[in-house]
Amino acid sequence: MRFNLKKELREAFTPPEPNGRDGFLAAIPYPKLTYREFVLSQICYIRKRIWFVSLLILLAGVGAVYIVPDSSMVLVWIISALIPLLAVLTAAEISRSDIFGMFEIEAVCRFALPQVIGARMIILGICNFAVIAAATAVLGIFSPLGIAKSALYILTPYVSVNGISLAIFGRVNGQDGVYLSVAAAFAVSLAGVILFGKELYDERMTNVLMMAVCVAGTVLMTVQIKKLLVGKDNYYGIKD
Amino acid sequence: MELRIDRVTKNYGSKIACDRLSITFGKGVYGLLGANGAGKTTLMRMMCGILNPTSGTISYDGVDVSCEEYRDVLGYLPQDFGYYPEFTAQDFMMYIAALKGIPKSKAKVKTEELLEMVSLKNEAKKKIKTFSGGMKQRLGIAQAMLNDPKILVLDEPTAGLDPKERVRFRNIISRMGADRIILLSTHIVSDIEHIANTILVMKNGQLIHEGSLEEIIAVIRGKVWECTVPQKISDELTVKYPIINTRNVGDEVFLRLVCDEKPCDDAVNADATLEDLYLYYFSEEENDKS
Repeated sequence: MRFNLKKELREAFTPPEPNGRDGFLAAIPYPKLTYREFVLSQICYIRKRIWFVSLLILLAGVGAVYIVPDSSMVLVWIISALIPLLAVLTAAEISRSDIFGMFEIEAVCRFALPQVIGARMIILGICNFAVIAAATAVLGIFSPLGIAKSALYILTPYVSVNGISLAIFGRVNGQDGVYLSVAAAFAVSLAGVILFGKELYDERMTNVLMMAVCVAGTVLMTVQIKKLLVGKDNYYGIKD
Repeated sequence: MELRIDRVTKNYGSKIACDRLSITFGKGVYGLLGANGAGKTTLMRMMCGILNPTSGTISYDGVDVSCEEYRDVLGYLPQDFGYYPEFTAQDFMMYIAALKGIPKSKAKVKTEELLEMVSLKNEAKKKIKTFSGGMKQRLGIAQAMLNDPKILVLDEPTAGLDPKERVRFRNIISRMGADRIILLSTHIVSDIEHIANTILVMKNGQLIHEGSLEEIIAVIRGKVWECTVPQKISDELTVKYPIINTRNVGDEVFLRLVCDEKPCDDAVNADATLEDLYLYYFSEEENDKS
């Protein structure tokens, strides 16, 4: 009975056109993303090449262990040569707003540029840490270097290439920066291979040199990251 | 709703890009006019928090430009902007929506609505790198509106749009100006003439005029003249007065110029337009640059 009444009323009267419905709906406040949710939302915007290279390093390490178990130094060369590639891709990913001219649009959003860069650093930092830790463990177990030296041999090319690349991206715009950074990464890889292959220095000398480069690379990387996070016009060189 | 710019100055070394600017914006559309290098883009960038003023403050209803609450009500279309090459139009909008803190479900609805508004709905899944200049510009306009901003700053929004799109976009801005602050800068004087409630004229980093179209034009009312004269007289007048328009008519030359008194016997007074004012103030500067 009640159902019929509703139906008849609906048929008898035409409802008025909604007045200001869009404005009303738009005015309803909605919960904005928290920074944690924002960071998680950025995972899908990290380019696939980062995940691919990370996986490649892990697979190369594991593969080398099984394929050439007797030539343990080959493992050191392979991993040390691939680490600069991961470092340069990470630097390019962190600096991509600048490389592709998106920084102006990103800087004015609720989560401003330093927060966007921070989100990328968190995601890539976790990913790179996992890769470096796994690679160190593989090297530590399957090469004669031990954990401490393995960490040094992996961290040194990583921090130096990352620092150099971030410095390049901060100064050279667009694709030119990418080419220069790749060249720097290649040079570091080559230097590593020559250093390990030719044994130019005695072991103690090599370790001291590696440690010095590692410290310098870490300082450079830290300075560049700080510039990125607090930068703005003094970093991006925006002019009228 | 009040956006206050209080004695804002921006220096680049010894060059003063903006010189002690003080403007208060209420609801409505504001058109910013000025030659290249007048300080328009610097002002807009400071209003968006991209550049820090050397001195002075910018705030919206008491909220400083550097605060997240300020950016939350801000929409900005830069003069030139890039995009990530792997992005489709939809990816781009969803990415910017995330940066603006809009949840995914709401962002999807808003993206669809805005892409339809800028006639890019059918291109939503296409890569931006395949887009024409006008399409990229329309996408830029759409992203600026994602958060339904209370302050909308548009730097050359109609550049690259065809006349039909320009008129359509002009109407959209005009409608939106009813309940928000819109500041647009463009060299297309007619755009400002049609939609701006208030016109701001900048020169050498300073605000030289501020007012409605009528008030602004009053400066040169009665000073715009048209005449058709022989080449020799034309050459003399060209040296003497700012020429707004010139065209050959048979053996003679038609001139539209600005001067306080009748430049020649044949001259007749013409209605002043905003373009006259713009050319009057900036033609000298443009000539110097070229």
